[in-house]
Amino acid sequence: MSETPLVRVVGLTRHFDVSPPLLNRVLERKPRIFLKAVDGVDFDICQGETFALVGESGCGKTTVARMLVGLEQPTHGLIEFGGHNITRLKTRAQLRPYRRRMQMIFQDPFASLNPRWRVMDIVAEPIRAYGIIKGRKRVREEVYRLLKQVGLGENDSDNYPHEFSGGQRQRVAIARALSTRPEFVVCDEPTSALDVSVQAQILNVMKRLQQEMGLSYLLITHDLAVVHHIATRVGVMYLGRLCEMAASESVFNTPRHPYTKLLLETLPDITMNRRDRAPMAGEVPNPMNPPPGCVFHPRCPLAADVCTREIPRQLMVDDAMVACHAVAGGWDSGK
Amino acid sequence: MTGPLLKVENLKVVLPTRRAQLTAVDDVTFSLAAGEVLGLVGESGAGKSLTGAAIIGLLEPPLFIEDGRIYLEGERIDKLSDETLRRIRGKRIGSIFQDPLTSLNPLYTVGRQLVQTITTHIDISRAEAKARAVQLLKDVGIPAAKERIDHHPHQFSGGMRQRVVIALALCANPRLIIADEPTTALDVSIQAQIIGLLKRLCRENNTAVLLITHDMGVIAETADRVAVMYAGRLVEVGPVRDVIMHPYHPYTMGLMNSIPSISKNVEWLTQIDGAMPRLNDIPAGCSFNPRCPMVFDRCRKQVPVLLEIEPSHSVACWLHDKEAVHV
Repeated sequence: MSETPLVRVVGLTRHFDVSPPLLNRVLERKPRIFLKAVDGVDFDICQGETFALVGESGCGKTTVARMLVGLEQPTHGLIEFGGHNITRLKTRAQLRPYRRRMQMIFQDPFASLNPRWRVMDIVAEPIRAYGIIKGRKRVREEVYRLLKQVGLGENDSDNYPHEFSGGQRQRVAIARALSTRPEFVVCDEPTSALDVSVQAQILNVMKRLQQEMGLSYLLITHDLAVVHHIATRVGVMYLGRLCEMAASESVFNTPRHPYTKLLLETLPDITMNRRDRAPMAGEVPNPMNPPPGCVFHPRCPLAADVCTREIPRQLMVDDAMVACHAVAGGWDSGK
Repeated sequence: MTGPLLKVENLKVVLPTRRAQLTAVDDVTFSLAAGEVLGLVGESGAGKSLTGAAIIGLLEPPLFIEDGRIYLEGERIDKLSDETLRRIRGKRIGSIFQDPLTSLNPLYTVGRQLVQTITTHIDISRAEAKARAVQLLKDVGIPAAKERIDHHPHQFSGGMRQRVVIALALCANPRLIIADEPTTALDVSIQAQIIGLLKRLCRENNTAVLLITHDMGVIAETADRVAVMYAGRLVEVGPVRDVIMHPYHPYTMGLMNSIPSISKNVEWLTQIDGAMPRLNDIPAGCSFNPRCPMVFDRCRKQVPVLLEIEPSHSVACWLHDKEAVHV
């Protein structure tokens, strides 16, 4: 992995202004309030790999995805795609060459497909918009090819989204994402709305397409089992920050950050070992008012004095990045 | 022990439409002993929630129970008047639904909702009811219960709200709780807390739980027995360990193998091709036959019945019909 990564993200930050209205601020002396949805996130995604961002709701993982594809402007930080800085590109013309190369698959296939369009038009639109293939007949053939690639038939192209089941709809969404021949696909909870037997179908399709086309994925999910199955590298997010990032085997076999350990510990599993698990205490704090120091300290079994004061620095332990005072100070092993 | 706490026999729930009567729940039979946790699993549209709703008499019209009998402690409850049923719901059967925000009234404090439920079902004074409400909130693990009782639902987080809903369900010490996807709307770290809580409270009070969920992980952690539903019918019923480790029905086998798990390393997940049939399109014979890898002639013609293969482990699949001659 010596060559430049396909996607490079440095210090990515997104603050949302949730201040009271100006008049209230002036009259009632209310302060400005910023919600730090994403607060300094760094990662690389190499060609052909699946990088998964996991975390509980509200940890900022979806905001990261939206910033990468340009649906959201970062407050600070840098996004590089294929060696080009795309952070401050604003106009459509500037973004156009990059937008073709990165596509997105959304969680809810019921909301992400236009109900009034036939599947043919849904999948053909990006092809026409980017002028990838010219000529009606050739576009139609391309749509057939794409549908076949995701396991649908030619006949399906004449149907409307409501005629499909959730899994089939997600296949249409994947076909549409692939129609611009992207290198990088951002998948935001692609299987969360689906039943398990259908989830297996979609995960298999995603994996097969990756092998066939050399795609790189950013997978956003809260489901650790899905991550374990499909990801090559994993970043664990908590309240807008990465607390651990490493190769998938490393995260699952030797988790280092206490949050990762607890997440793996609390995961209900079907192996029927019925261990009496110690569920993680407490809840995710309000991101508007995050705890000082390490944001995880109120729930952390290893929390010490320093954790309440200082934000832990990211440090490399073997091949893993961990941001934890306990790991840095070496008092995590005696648990 | 004298008879099961809950007995459901040949339950059939029907949705009348202009064209035809669609059968949403078909010939469902099971029973639940006191203090037992029965998991009802299936994919969306399998009829598991409707089965739960039918038991507590909360089927939304035009859905109705066309056939079958439901007994609670030996008493038939499927033909009761609304008024009588209302007294059973909450007192003898508690219920927990998926979304805690919609099961609580946003305009009333949680204390008022708890006290109201308690005084409706138990004959005690308001002060006693209030004390009981505080105790309930403490039992479900809400810190500073005395102060929190005067808060409105929006002041609680999702996990805390679900705790309040559990407290509401436990108000009158019901013998049975119907929990419909109680942890689906929650984050994993909170999910484990709620499962642990539900398990502990039910063990302490000897309350039986009908746990309706699509999450096999939750079932594996919580249930004593499990019933698998597919297209409105029960396809497999048995002790949770047997069903998960040694499923007999091809659907259950496929389902178990299609679940990604952090304790197994596989390159490809087993997938069940196709999707569950829609209600207006349920195939003849076994409803799973178009997707079944082991289908044979009889499956396309005859609806399989639940056959007991091992003690208390039943499967509705012709593959396991020992008496029939296999083709």
